[in-house]
Parts: sequence; structure tokens; C-alpha cells
Amino acid sequence: MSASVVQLESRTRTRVGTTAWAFAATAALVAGGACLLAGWTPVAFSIATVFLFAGPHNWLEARYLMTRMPARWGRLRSYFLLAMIGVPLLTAAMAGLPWLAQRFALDRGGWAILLAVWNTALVLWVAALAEMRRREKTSRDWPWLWPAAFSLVALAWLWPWGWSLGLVYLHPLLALLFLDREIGRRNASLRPVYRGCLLLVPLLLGVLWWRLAGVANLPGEDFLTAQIANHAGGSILGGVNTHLLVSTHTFLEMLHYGVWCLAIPLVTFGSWPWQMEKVPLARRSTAWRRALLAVLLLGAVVMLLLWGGFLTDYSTTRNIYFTVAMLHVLAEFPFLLRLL
Amino acid sequence: MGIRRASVLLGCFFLAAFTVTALADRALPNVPPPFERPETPPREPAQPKLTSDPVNFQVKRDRSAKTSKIVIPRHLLAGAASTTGASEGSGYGLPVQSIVAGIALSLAVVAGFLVIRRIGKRSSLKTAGAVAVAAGVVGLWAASSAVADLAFPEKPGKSQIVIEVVDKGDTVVLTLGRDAP
Repeated sequence: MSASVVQLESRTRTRVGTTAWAFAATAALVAGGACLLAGWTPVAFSIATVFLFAGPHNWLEARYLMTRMPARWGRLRSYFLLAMIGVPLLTAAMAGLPWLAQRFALDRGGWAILLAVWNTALVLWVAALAEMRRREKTSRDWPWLWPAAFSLVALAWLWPWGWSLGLVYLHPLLALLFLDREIGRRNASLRPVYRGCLLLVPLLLGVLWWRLAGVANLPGEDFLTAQIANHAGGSILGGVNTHLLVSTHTFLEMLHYGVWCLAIPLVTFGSWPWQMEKVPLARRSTAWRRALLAVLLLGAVVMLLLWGGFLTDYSTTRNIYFTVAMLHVLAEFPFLLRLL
Repeated sequence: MGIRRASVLLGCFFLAAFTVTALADRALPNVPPPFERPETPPREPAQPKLTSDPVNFQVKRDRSAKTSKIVIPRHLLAGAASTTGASEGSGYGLPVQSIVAGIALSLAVVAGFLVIRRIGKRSSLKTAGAVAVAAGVVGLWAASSAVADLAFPEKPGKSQIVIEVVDKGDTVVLTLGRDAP
């Protein structure tokens, strides 16, 4: 009896060890490859990664959020209502900023105020959600919540462009936090390995910055290169060369895509994305199940349209995509707070 | 940790944070303060493009002029008109931005104080320290950006030059004044 238990334990340890090695090797390969390509040919790598993964990662993320949505909201009703009102409102407001600026012929100062107002709304919305989450459990004490929120609001007004750029660079890292929580929930033995792999991120960023600190700006003067450089903060961080900025942003974006397209489905789904057995909302009724499948199907169609758009007019499609993509950036906040 | 100890900790941190950046006795250097760095909305060109054609250039000395001056015809600065227009009344110098940031920082400090008061009763040295450090870092950063106490120089220094963009003419004229070496 005891011999078989020892044998079973040994076999389990071997399996965990193999999984951990496979996980670490894959993570190192993806991160190292992304760093190499982002540093070597940043613009081409940015174009390729956005083309290949922008649509699929949103689709898989939507599928993941379906899994995380409870079948019945119960006492979380007001939390999810605030979340579901905030996401489309803030997305629409962000999409409307260029129109507002054009309509009222705003100068840079006006733009800065619009951005600061939007950033303030975002901070207060997230803080309100966190406050609701905090009140759910007496043990969940976040005393720093409001001082931190007001400090962030102050920064948003003092440095609106920099603050927005911070969101652009921090958003890819949120995926790493999601993965950490999910691994902790489902396969805790893998968590130390994952956290060890996370050390690769600052290490590779350091290598990237060390190698690219003194290089010239990106050579291309075409609209697409300027668009990609501006997205990475080229017009805000004037003292930093655009090669380094685009490389850094593309590297982080690739990590983000890798997590959503590969790691999260492997860790959390446990089935094909279209199999709804483990989705709580789908278990509610057949109508819900069909509705969720319809949403997934619609998402797949949008993904195909996005690919078509990229092939037809990459620059315009990229612009539209990153405006609409604010939706998924914002949708992550309430679900991330639910994991804390 | 008691409320008194937390208050002393916070007070020391703020004192250290603000005193190192109190520069009221120094004149502002002849560069724009960091928060007035020109910025552009996303996806707009950052700088005006200068013309690549050769232009006439004239240098003359005027002993009656106090400072040196360079006069540039506007048409030689392609895109300068829109940039000049955009920068007027813009940037971080807008009072509304400073006012709202100030209000938010005040709220952060008040909220931080309330937190310290609350957790002071529960002896959470770790949390109180974290809040104090966070508030100190924000205060340090904000104080390094706030230059309301800096004196602006009344007279231009020796290295200064007045740049004037004119609508007419096609020659760039550099007039060396009395301050020029």
C-alpha cells in the first residue's frame, strides 16, 4: 500500500517536473524570440504581430471573460452593472476625443485637458470597482486605495500624455498578472516556475535598452512607421529614440499576445474555445448557451474582417483596431479585480 | 503603531521630500521648465519641417541694440504657423491643470491621513510605512515639478537671443547686440 503511494507520488512529481520544464522552455523561447525580433526589426515585427494576433487574442480573451462571468450575479449585481456601464462609456468617450478636439478646434492644451478628464474618469471607475470589491470581504483591506487613486488623478492632470502612454505600456503586463492568478488557482505547483520566468521580462528589457540606447531613430519616414512610432510614444518621449520605443512596446505586446493566445487557453479552458460545458453562463439555459455561441461566432467573423482590413489598408485598420481595442483593455479591469 | 508615530513618520518623509527641491533662491535657467515641454496630440508630427532650400543669411552688428536678435521670414518655416498657433495658451502651464492636480493631491494627502488614523488603531506599521513612502514619492515627484517658487530672471542672460518670425522678406537676419561677444 505504502509502496504504491510512494510510486504515485514519484510519478506525480515527475509529471509536474516535466510540465514545469516544458512551461519554462516555452516561455523562455517566446520571450527570447520576441525580444530578438523586436530589437532587430521592430516595425516589421510590430506589423506582423498586430496582423497575426490582434484579432485572435481579443477573441480568446472574450472567451476567457465568458468563463469568468458568474452564471448569476446575485450580490455582485451592482459591481457588474458598474463595470458593464463603464466599459462602453469610457470606450466611446476615448473614440470621441478626436472628434471633440476637431469640433471645437482644440489646441494641445485642450487635448491635454480632454485626456486628463478621460484618465480621471478611468481612475475613479476602477477605484469605485475596487471599493465595491473591498467591501465584499472584511479581510480584504485595501487602505491605500483612495490615496493611490487621487495620486494617480493628480499625475493624470500634471502629465496627461505621459499617463496615457503609461497605460499603453502597462496594459500588456496586465496579461501576466491574469496568468499569475490563474496558475495560482488551477496549478499552484507551477506558480514558482512561472514567477521565475517573469524575471526574464526585466532582464530582456534591460538587454533591449542596453543594446538600443544609442541607436538612431527609425529610418522610415512613411506614415505607417510614424504611426507605429507615435503609438509607442515617439512624439511624447522626444529624448528617447523611436527604435528603442517601438522595440520595447512590440516586445511587451508580443508577450501579451503570447499569454492570451497560448498560455491562458492552455491553463484555463480545459477544452476547445467553442465547447461551452465549463462556462457558467452557458449552463444557465439553452438560450444563454446559444447566445454565447452566437457572440463567439460574431467575434470570429469580426476577426476575419479584421484580417481582410489589414490586407486591404493596414494603416487605417490598425487605427480603427486600436481605438476599438480600448474595449478589451477596460474589460480586463473588473475581471482582474475579481481575481484579487 | 500609534497615530503619533505614524504622523511623525509621514511628517519626516514629507519634510525630506519637499526641502530638497525648494529652490526659491535660485534663478530659473534659460530653458523651459520640464512641464512645459512641447507635446503633440497622438499621431501628429512632432516638429515643424524646415525648408530644405538654401536661404539668404545676413549678419550685422548693432551697438544700440541691447540683445541679439534673429529675424526669420515665416514662409521659411514650413508648418510653423500651425505649430505656433497650437502652442499658444497650451501645455502644462494651463492653470486648470495645475488646479485640478493640486486638488487631487490634496485629496490624496487627506485620504492618506485618514488611512493612517484608521490603521494607527490597528498597529499596522507595514501598511502605514507603505502609505507614507507612497505619499512621499508622489510629493517628491510633484515638488520637483512645481516651480512656482522659482524666480524668473528679469534680464536676459548673455547667451540669450530674441527670435522673431516675420511675415515678409526672404532673408534670415542675425543682429548682434551689445551683449554679443
